[in-house]
Amino acid sequence: MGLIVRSPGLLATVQDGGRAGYRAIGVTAGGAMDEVALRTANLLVGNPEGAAALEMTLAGAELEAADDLLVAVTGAEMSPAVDGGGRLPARRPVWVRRGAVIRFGRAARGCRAYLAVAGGIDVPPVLGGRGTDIRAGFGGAEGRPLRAGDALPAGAPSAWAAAWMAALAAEAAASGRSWAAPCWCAPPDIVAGAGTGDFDGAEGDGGARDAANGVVLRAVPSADAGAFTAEARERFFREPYRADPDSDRMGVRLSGPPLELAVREEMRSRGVLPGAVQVPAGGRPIVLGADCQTTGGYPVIAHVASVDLPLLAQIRPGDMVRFRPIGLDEAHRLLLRREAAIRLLAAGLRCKWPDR
Amino acid sequence: MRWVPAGDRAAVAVWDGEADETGGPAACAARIAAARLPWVVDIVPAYDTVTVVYDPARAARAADRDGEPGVWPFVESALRRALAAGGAEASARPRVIEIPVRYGGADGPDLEACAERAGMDPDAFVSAHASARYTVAMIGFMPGFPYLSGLPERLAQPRLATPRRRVPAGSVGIAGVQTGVYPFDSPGGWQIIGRTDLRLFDPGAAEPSLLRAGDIVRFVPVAGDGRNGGDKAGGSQGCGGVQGEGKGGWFEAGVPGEGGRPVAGDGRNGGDKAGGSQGCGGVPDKGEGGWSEAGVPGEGGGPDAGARKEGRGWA
Repeated sequence: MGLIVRSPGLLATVQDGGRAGYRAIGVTAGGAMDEVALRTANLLVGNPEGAAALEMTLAGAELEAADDLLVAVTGAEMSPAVDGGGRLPARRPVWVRRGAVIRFGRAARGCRAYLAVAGGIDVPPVLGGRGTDIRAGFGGAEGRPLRAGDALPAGAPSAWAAAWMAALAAEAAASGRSWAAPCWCAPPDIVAGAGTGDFDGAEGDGGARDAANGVVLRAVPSADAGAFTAEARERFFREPYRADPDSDRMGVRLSGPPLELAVREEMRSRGVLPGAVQVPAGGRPIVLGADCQTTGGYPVIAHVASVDLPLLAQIRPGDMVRFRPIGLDEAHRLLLRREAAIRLLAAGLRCKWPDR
Repeated sequence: MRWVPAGDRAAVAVWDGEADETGGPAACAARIAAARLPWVVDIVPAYDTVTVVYDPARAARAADRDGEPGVWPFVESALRRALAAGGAEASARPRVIEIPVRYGGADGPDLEACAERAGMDPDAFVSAHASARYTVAMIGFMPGFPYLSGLPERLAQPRLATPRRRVPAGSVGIAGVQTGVYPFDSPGGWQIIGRTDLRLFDPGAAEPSLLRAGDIVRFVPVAGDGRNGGDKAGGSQGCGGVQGEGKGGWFEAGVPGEGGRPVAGDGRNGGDKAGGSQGCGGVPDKGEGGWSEAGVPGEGGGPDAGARKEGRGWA
């Protein structure tokens, strides 16, 4: 057994890189809301980027290591502590001794934190994924959020992870502590709110969060935009919105100036995906999240650029949100730059072996 | 038909008007799937669209190899080529799937009201519902949920003023001029006229969804006492009906003939002994933070949104 859930916190689920190929039969892709944080955490413990990990929301879990484990924490800052003492450092591989208890607190910044374990969380795959589809009731831990007492098995660590485990175990034994970590770490997550560094993909305005403007999400205006009045289209990219408390993995609901439709023409349901900004009749936009339905019938005013979906994942209830228009080519260019940065991190980690 | 982008990782084929030489969404989806483009992640056929989800990074690499500078121009032209190249796969005849239904009673609490609105007695309503030939326009809202077109206009119904908190798995509903079947226990606002024991979605099966877009569906009334009888005869109607040869099985087009006349029930309710027809896993009462409380179907663009669209003014 890998991890034992002593307390799940507000909402903890097993999530991975998502399911592909089943949207045509209504199965949502799901997977980690903050894909970059998930991939980073996995790379830091020598896993494939899309391996299953733990996603925690706003208030973190309390976990017990059932074996010696190599773990990595990314995403929202939840101040994890080991055995009630030392702060478990983020964005690096950390060896924890069997029996150690990792306790996460409330998120000081961001909304969702990830804990990856070397070997991945080894729950049975369903439809090509190990992530939890809460609404359909499959994947993860019996298709439901984690609860106290759940035991999450870890798979076999890679050779790279095993080498770090051996080196860090020796270091922990020498220092008499129940955990050990190297002195280096991955660059700051975009998600932790820094909005700077190799991973944010930001150039000039947008794709960032700061105290004055809240979260700025870059978005590509939709081909449906004609369904809205010119005033509504302009307002959407000008006015700030506030994230509502009833936001969740299905979507981030926004309050703000309502967006009027130009025509009452009925639209037939069609495929939708995360990042689509749907506007129901009331005019309050909903930005679809990882667990969104596969089809929807509401007009879409814009799509959040994929490069900024991790920022969407880290929006907390009450956060201010603005949208900034970008073109499709620009959205692709930014995403490819992000992918290049992740590939660079992966390559760097692969050649980083412990000193002997 | 034209291709439009939907954000930076989906392309949508949109049919603006009447059917054209492309054969429509289900046929086009099949042809794109047959092309096995390595950067295509998902293909979602719907009423008058096909949404193709792609991986921009992989598409960019393929575009590079083709000497195409932009991701979108590459995606659009590659999808056009895939449609032009497709042949045999696209013309495959649709499957016909029969769904045995216990109409009315506890299984179909809205049947009488629906019949009254339609100005007919419940038996005539059932007969009309079961005589029609339906096409799966799309699967959406939840895994395996079919949106069926082909409901006779006179059977059209408004959706419920207040959606039910729980509609049992297998419930057959009507909203606007659509009819459909709930694969899981779920909140829902469709008028429920009956229930089947067929399992519409089984995540563990080789083919998890009983239905897919383009299939032809017929409902077959079976006598019911409101409970799952279940015996050997019913076994074939239970889990895994896709592959079955019995009532719940599927046929090539044209096999179950005779003009869609309602078929007399055999007195058995479907469902196997294991009770496996009761859905797979169920749906938790609450989502992450009250989203489902707020009415998932209505707000998320689910069946009720669709119903509103299709319902021509009903709200």
